Amino acid sequence: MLQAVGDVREGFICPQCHQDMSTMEMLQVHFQDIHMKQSSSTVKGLFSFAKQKIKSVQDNFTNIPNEQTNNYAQYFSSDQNDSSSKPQQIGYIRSYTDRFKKERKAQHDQISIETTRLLLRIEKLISTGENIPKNANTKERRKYEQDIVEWIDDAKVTLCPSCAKSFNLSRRKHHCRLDGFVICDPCSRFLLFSKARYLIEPSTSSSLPNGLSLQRSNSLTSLNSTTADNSAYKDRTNNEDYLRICLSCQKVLQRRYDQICFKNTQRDEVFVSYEKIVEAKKILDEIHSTYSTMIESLLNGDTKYQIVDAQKLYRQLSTCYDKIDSTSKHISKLADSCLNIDEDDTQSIIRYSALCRNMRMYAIHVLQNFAISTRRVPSEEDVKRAREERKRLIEERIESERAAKAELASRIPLTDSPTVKKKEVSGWRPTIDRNLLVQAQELNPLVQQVYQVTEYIRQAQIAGRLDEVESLKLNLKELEQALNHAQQQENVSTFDS
Amino acid sequence: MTNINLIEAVRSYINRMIEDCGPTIKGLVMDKETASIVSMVYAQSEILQKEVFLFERIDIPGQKSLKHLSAICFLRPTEENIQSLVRELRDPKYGNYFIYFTNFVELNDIKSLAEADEFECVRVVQEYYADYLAINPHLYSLNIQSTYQHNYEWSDNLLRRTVQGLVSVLLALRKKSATIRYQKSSNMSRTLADKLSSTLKRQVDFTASNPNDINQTIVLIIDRREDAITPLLNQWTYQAMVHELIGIKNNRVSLSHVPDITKELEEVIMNAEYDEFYANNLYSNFGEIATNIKVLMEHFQEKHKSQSKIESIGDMKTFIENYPQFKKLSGTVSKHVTIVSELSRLVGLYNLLEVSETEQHLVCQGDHNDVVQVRLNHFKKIYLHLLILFLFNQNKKQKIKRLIKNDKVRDLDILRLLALYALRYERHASNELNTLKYEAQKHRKLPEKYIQFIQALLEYGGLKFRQADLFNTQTPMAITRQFIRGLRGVDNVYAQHVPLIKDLIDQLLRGKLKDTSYPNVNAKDQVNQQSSSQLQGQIIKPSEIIVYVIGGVTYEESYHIQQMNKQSARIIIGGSYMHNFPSFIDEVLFAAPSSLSAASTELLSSKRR
Repeated sequence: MLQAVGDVREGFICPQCHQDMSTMEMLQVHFQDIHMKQSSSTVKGLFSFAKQKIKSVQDNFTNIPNEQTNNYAQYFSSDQNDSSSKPQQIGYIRSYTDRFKKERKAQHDQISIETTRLLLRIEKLISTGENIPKNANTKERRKYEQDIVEWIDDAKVTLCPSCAKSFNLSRRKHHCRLDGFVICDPCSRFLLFSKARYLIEPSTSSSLPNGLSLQRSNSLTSLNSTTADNSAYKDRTNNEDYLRICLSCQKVLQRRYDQICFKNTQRDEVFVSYEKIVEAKKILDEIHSTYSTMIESLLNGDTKYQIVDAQKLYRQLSTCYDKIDSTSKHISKLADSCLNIDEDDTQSIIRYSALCRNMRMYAIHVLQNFAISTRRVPSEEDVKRAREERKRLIEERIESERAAKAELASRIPLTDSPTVKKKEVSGWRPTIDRNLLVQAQELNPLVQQVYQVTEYIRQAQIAGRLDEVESLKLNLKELEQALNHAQQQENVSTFDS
Repeated sequence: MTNINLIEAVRSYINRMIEDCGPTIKGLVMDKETASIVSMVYAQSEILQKEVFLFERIDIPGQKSLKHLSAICFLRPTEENIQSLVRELRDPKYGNYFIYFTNFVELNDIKSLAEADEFECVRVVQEYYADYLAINPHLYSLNIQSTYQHNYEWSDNLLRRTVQGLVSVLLALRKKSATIRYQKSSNMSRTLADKLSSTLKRQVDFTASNPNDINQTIVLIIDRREDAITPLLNQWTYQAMVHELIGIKNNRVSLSHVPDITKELEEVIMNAEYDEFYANNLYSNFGEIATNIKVLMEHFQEKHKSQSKIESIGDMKTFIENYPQFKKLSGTVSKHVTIVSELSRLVGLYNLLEVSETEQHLVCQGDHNDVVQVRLNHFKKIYLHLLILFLFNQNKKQKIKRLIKNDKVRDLDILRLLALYALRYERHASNELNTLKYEAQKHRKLPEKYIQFIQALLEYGGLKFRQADLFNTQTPMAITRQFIRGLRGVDNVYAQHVPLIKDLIDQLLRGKLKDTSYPNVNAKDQVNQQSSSQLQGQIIKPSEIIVYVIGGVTYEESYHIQQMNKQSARIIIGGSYMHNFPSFIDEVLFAAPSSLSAASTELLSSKRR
């Protein structure tokens, strides 16, 4: 490497063979290809070589990994790291609700138009008035019905459209009163007026006499579920008016009926009970928060609340508590009884009892949470002790403050009399002890302020104005700081002189 | 540091569902798969607090109306589920329906649901992409037990399910697109990558604005067949160990076979979300756990002492206040003490320490003597290494033979060793697999299944398929690395093995993963080719890496990824199944081209040649 001065070369020169490489990369490639191999082929003593090699390989494999152990972050894009402190957002969501509703509307509009049309006709057909003929009066009645719905011409129909059997003497032609089509008797359905009324106004006639129970499984025109029943049922319905309708109309009406039933399903006892729990829980929540603050302040020795208040609230709390407990117990008992469920329907039974049990678990959990966080009402003695303790603390503090004051007073050189600023606090106003003022007059204005504020604090504490105390204390702190500062400066200045 | 959390992603979806439903009594209607998806991230008691009182399966009938409940239907968009829903809506049990699909839904299905909804009780139809089982924040599984069909090809169903799963992982983490890289040597991974890419492109709502964005998610698709070793090994970190020795299924661990087990501990739930001790020790090794459990016991005893000493009302009060915590603690303690003592019983009973040491030696070091000779000529520079190994290394074969004769060792563990030996010396001149097999048959009756497995495994992950240098025997670089690892002294002889996946990810991060063996799907497009080849020069910094292993992952891999994530990497790993050795045996046997008999397998393979 000791070359003549004139032979200095610059650039990417190989340290081993002094060949000039034009770029860094080329140099690297060159060095790796030629010298690394060379060195490995020259035998320089196995151990020393091994050592060196180990070292370099170790550098490769240990150092780099060691850097990695500190940070893999370098390999990941950093602009996302900024958001890493934020909580993870919920993943993507795609909604089909609008599309679904559109489809549903398109699908069901046609049917609902049909339903409305039929309902309008029914309303006219079953309305009772003086000039509307009763069923008994067949001819007039028929005319009235035909006015509302145009009947199809008998002559055009030779087969019953639903059973495809031809009409003859024994299989006579009938008309559906709602759409006027011709049907045979076995294919007819009969809609009782009472049920028809229910279809039109479900709310008013909800107390139907004739066993129009709210179970959905019941067919609307229960008389016609099988033709065999027909005659028997007709006998029974003789005393009540009915409309003859065809199968397709019945289908539309049945759907309407199911929908009404669906909306008016009776609540099971479970749900009624559960609602009670929810209500009680709501009240419990409300009471609980005020109760906790009350207890807190009582135990602090505050005079804001009385024990009686707390006791009253506690009683309310425990009634709610009991209510939740007993209601949920009641629910869990219902689990075994399983009202209104077929015995074969085991899945429903399992589901129902699981529901009840889970409600009870939920209630227990709610109660546990409250039980843990609810403290008992402190006894008279506790409160008294707390109050005394507090009083003692306050007095102690005043005492120590006084001592501090005295100390302060001794330390502060006297200055001219200060002006006293009165603090206006709305509602409650601390008064200034005249004696103190006299004392204070001889003091530095800052010291005087300190006095005053400590005095205010004392008074405020006695009066139980916690927030005032807080803000006053802050003031005091600032004042003391200022005072210290002033004192220091003074000390320095005296020292200088 | 990492803010990607798979568990949180599913939880926030479920929370949103429950919130949207409002403060009424709710029932959660699920299918078989979504039921496990939910159970992985939510405890029933916690979900109960949100007034969800019923948990049921869509396929279970029952007539009793529950009109005052709202149903939250959380379902996969399968044909059966749509049909069940249609049936349900025609005769609704519940008063309201809030329908959430875990994946893309066909518009036709929406239409048929709309037609069925005669009672207009459907309130919401949405897609919430929680279509995977979140096991840990960085670990997911699709719970597909046997991915491979005959001849290692996809079946349409499983391919669809896998694409759905991966898409949902991306969308749940708010990633609209990704750079997809796949293992070229595997047909299945190529097919999956293509399908995934085209599926993402087709979803107009979710395609990213800038496909050439460098700051992208990288999806890396790997075939389990490339690394058949990892599932063969015994494990020594807590979670992995429990899975290997006892078995974890959807966070449940069955302890019914443990001697003298109490009734309530027959099946325990191991969910790191609800179990602090477990969460802290998922990745601790067996020695650490023993220490930690001692601390836990002491803590508990202290608590117990203070609990049992109730003298005043005040004590009573503190007792009541602390009781739920105490009870929880005592549950945790008894659970973990049982499991850990069971683990250590098994370790002793089956001589697992020695087995595991032999396994690790087989995988990580050691050679036949003649291999040593060959190496001497070729790579003098690593002479020292070999010298040491030579002294250090007893003959593996001898060791295996000795273990075969040891009655304490399980057949299963012998199989592990034989399988490792078979893979290790597959094309080796002095391969003595047959001697070993014979030896094993002589001393113990290995089930027929086990013998078949070795054959099937060679077909599954043998040299014919494999490209990666699993045993670090081929390149000088790898040998030196092995050497260094050996020299530095191993921290833990039972955990020397580093899974291939970690190496692959390291290469990927440093831009050294070869495009020829792990190509990018989009690179096939003419347009992107240039830009991607330009990008090759610089190292692409991904925002995160999502790994999918066709054929299942192991907890050992999860452990290594977790270690990387601890050092602020952002990697998520998942696979078709969480494998332990027994489940891996089943999968390999199932996938074998002809698993009926070893002879026919040989016949087939010779034909192919």
